[in-house]
Amino acid sequence: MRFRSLLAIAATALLTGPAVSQDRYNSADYQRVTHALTCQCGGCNAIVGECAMDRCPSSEPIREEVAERLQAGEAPEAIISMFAERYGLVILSAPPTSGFHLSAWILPGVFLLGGAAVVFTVLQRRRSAAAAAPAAGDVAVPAVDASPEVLARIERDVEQIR
Amino acid sequence: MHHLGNFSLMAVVVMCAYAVAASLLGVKRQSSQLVNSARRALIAAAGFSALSVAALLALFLADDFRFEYVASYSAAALPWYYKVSALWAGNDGSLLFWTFLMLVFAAACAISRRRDELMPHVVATLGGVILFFAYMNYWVCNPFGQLAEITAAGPIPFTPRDGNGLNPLLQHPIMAIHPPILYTGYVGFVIPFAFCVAALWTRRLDAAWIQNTRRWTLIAWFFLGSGILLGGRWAYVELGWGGYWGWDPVENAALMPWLTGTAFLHSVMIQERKGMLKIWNAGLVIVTYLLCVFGTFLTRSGIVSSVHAFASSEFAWRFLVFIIFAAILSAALLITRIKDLRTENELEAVVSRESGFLFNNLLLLAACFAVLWGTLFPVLSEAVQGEQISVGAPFFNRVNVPLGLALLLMTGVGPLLAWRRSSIDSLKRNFTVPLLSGVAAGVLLVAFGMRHPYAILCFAMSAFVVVTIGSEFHRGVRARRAHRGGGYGTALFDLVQRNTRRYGGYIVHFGIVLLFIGFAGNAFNKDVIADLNRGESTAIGPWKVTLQDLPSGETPVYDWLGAQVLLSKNDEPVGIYQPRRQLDKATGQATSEVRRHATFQEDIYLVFSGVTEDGRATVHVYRNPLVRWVWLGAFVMFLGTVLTLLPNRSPVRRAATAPGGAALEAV
Repeated sequence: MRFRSLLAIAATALLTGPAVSQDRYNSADYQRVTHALTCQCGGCNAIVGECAMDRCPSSEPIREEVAERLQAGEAPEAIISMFAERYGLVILSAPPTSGFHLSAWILPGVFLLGGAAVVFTVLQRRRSAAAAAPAAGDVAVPAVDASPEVLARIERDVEQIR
Repeated sequence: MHHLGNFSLMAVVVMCAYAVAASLLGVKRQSSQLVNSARRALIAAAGFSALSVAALLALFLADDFRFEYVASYSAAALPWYYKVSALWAGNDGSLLFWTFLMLVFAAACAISRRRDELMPHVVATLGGVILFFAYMNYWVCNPFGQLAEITAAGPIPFTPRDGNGLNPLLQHPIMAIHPPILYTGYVGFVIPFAFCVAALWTRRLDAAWIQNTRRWTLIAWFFLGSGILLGGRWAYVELGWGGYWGWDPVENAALMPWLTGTAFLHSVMIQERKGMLKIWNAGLVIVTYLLCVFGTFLTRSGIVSSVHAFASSEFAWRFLVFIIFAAILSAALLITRIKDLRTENELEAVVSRESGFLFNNLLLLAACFAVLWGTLFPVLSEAVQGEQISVGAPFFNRVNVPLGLALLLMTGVGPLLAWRRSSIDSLKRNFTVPLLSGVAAGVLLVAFGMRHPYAILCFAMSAFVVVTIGSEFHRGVRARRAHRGGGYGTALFDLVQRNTRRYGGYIVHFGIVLLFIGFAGNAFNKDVIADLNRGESTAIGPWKVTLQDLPSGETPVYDWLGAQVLLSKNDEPVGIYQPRRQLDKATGQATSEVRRHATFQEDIYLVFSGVTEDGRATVHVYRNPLVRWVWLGAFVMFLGTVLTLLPNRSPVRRAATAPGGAALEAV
């Protein structure tokens, strides 16, 4: 079993050799590229830089290739484009900002702005409708049937909590 | 036992069908006997559903691998508690459990609200909805199906020696409680939905249905939110990728109704106090419930790929038909009742508590739309462009972080605005201290070298909101002491007891602030990967991780290999940790068992990724600031919600809803 062989490897691990702090996996460019790509294993949808699957057949080779290409001096954007050409847009972790896919980015903003316009319109219309009613400034007008003493107490309490 | 399960499931179908027919006939004939029998049928259905769930549980506990569902998700060596949780590990069993939970809510409602005028129509709606789920469970995805071998002589029963086992990722204590809690949240919204439909149906459209379902709505909202956060906690401690939220379609499916449910919980206050936003509130309840059903559809239909989703199943189109049918019926009810939903009061000013709630609702809905749009965009893109695309965390973060910050701001702004209108004077008086606190926090952070704009904004707004909440409590306490005297603590206790809803709400808001502080920590996450021999170290900031040993072992369920590391900070030892990789014997699936050194400042998150060909341990070290604040925020939200569910010690003076009336609370 593969795991058993790993145990054997672990048991006979060499105790010599320098520490390999894998700088090529820790650079900002590596992080940027691996976070712009998604795992293509067929279901997990994980970002390549975050895919935690054991020896993932998709993410691991991609991570390896990204590290190699960055070491060879390729620009991060060029590497991302190369992967998009090889796998199609499905490998990108976010839709492109052009053509039909631009709508993915724009529509939430349109929804928010449209909603804000509706809210403002409703507010304006209802304010006009309420204009006929006497305004009472900041202080609420009690529509309750209460004695002057109670009203005075309420006024006093309201003043205190301000 | 399976006969009992199947019979009970069939009985649920029959009882629900009877509940619908009897309640409608009872209304038509004005027969209270028929209406009551419909109500009792719903309660009986809950009992039968419990029997059905118990029967499936018994099959799991007895390792009865004749049944496909048991064989697919359990194994003999599995501890009994994971055999219990395997009940909801797959589509069929989880739908059975889902139906059971929905019937528990329905029965509780049928018992506690039996004298409610809306009850006949509530029972008809609940019966209709549950009938669909029970029908699906019995005919389309029945968990009591037996395995059979196809031979020339026809199918013959087949019993494997052992089951396939439970996915090792699901073998975690949180997974024993996360799905039931999440499902409870999902199904709980059926109660406000049923009351809303009943109110529209009968044209009884005052705020009574909202007041009568407030606690049901809060309970559903609370469970859904808790389920989401527990899911995040599970992802963080179990999946080994260093995060707790991945914007997976199934996570999004749960978040959407929570967002609209949150909007509803805020906007109902306007209807209760001022008789406004009736159409809006009815629409929000309907949308929230439809999103709950849509979430179920997303999880079970396979239209989007997700780690959480059950395999694509044949019932997708039936579910879609149900959602469309429910949406059309609800929309028709709403449209035909628009005249009855006229507002009783008008908004008077843009700067007022009412408009604050409106903008809060707008932001919550915009966030919900952004999540829905992003989740479905791959499907749309494939349909329109014929090309598959992915929409992952970078999209959702970019779109939702500004919306989230705006919502955080509104959490502070809302309570400072007066009902009806806020004058310039009151704005100055209420906003000066909180605003200065927020600005001061922002300036201090920049002075100390923080440069991440979203994080600075988030912390500054958090300071603003915390001061707002603090000042709300302080003002209330001051008023009570002026009125009644006594110490500060007594006055605070008294104040909260007298208006649990308001002050519980503020505590929930405080929990939200803590959550956002935790979220802001993501901006500063760092990680490092290193291949280490024994005695070698890797560093991340002041932290050093030194590999000491590679122990291994096995249990009846899995083999494991660990990387024992010494964690030190500024060369001072902090502790010894042993992240592991485990190989599940039944499924052959390898998983990570992460180890964390967690403080309120940061988590050091250790993942043992494996062993290189030359025998070195690959260790992935994450430095995640402020994650603990997320869990603390969740706990504070829990406390706040429990407080809002408690009754007031003495009744709060209700708002007058006559035109020009305004709300006055007994402070």
